[in-house]
Amino acid sequence: MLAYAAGEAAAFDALYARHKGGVYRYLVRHCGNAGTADELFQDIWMNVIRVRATYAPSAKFATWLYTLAHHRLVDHWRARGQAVLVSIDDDADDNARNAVDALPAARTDEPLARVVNRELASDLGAALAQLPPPQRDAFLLQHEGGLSLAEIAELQDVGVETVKSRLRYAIARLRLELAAS
Amino acid sequence: MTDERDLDDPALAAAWRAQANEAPPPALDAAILAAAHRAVKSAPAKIGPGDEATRPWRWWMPLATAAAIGVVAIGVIQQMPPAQDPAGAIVSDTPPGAPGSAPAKERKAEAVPAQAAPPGVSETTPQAAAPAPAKRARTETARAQAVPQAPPPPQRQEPSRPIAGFAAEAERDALRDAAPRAATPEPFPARKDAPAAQNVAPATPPLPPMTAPAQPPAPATAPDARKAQTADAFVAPETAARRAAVPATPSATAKVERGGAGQAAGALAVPAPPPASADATTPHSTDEWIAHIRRLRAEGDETAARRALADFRIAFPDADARLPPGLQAWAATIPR
Repeated sequence: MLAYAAGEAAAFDALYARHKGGVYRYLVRHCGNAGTADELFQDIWMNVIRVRATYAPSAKFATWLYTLAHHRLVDHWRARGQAVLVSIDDDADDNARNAVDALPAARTDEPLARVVNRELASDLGAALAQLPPPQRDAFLLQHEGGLSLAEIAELQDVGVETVKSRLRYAIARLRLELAAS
Repeated sequence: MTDERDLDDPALAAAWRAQANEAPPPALDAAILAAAHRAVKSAPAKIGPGDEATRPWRWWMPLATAAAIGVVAIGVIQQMPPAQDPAGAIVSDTPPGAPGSAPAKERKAEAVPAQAAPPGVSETTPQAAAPAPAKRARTETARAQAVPQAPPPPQRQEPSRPIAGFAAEAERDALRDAAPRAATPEPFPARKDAPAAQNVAPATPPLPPMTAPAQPPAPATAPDARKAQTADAFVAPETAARRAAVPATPSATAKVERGGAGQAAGALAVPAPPPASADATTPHSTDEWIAHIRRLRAEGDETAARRALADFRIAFPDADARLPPGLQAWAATIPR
């Protein structure tokens, strides 16, 4: 990003090629609409181009990029009256927490054998859409953006433990969907 | 406390990667990349130490400054009055028949250029037929030799004068020297015009300093006199020469000496009789006025005394206050 800010256009090409898929899927999984995702995607990258001169490398570029994407998504939800980001205390009751805690730990052989087919992968996407937005956001930030727990916590403005809980719930629910399918 | 292993499920991650194949449309990619390239190309380039816009202008700035100063200096020099050439003034003013000036006259005849030399002079000087460079060298030699032999009168050395007063002074000199100059042949015919008279140092002694007007200056006030003097200062050289050729009447000369330049111009053009009020015995100072009035009163000429009082009042606005007490009582009975 610093190279691009200095006028090297090829640096932007590399950044875009590296992060365009993750950001796009992050938006598509959140919006569920390719058209809206395209619009938000373009806005995010135009913002990257616009603020290149003031970019300060205080964190990884991916963290900064997904922060822009997250804020743009929140703005989109607020504009549509769908600001549903809630605390961890609101998106899971005790029963669900207990059920998730009762799930067995992941085993590498069993799920891997079951998700090899394409149909199961699509079911996974549908299961993700059923997750509460904070959990889905945390899951997408971890798996699409490659952000650490601390980075996700900073981005979502919550504690690391909260992020862990959100991820745990999201993964548990996805496992349930995978088990059901 | 959540176990970190619960958050890292490789099977789920693999499944997620398997289905994560969405990508932005190629048109969107092209639009974003084009915008990125466009933004970089349109951005202003960084300014380096050698990229200053004023750099190509710097080299000729001193030249421009020097040229401007030169133009101003030339303009100032052209506006300055011409410096008098002491050698030229000396040579032109030396009377040809003066004693001890025969060698100088011969040298002057040598120095005359061929095209400007009068026939008589060229006939008497065979050296005038010499080539021009040799003549020029001889002219320079003659001038250098003529300087110590005919030093100018010290009282006539006036290195510089204001431009406005220059012509007036020349005109005054021309009037003064009109009669003797008419009989004196000019050694240099090319200098017969009036501007040459500015450089002429006449042999006549300088005039005495100007005195106050002999008559009350009622018709010619100070601004009028200044205007007339300014008008005379810009008189054409031909006019000045014509004026110099006019026989100077005593009245005209007196007026010029009195400083009445406006009246002098009219008197020079057409010699006119002196005005009726002009009187050589007209008093100048307060004491003379008082003595004059007393004398008239003593002679019993009350009318003349009243007229003198009126003239005194015109000459001095505070004339009544200047009068002695005896005359003040008498003057109080006479209205202004």
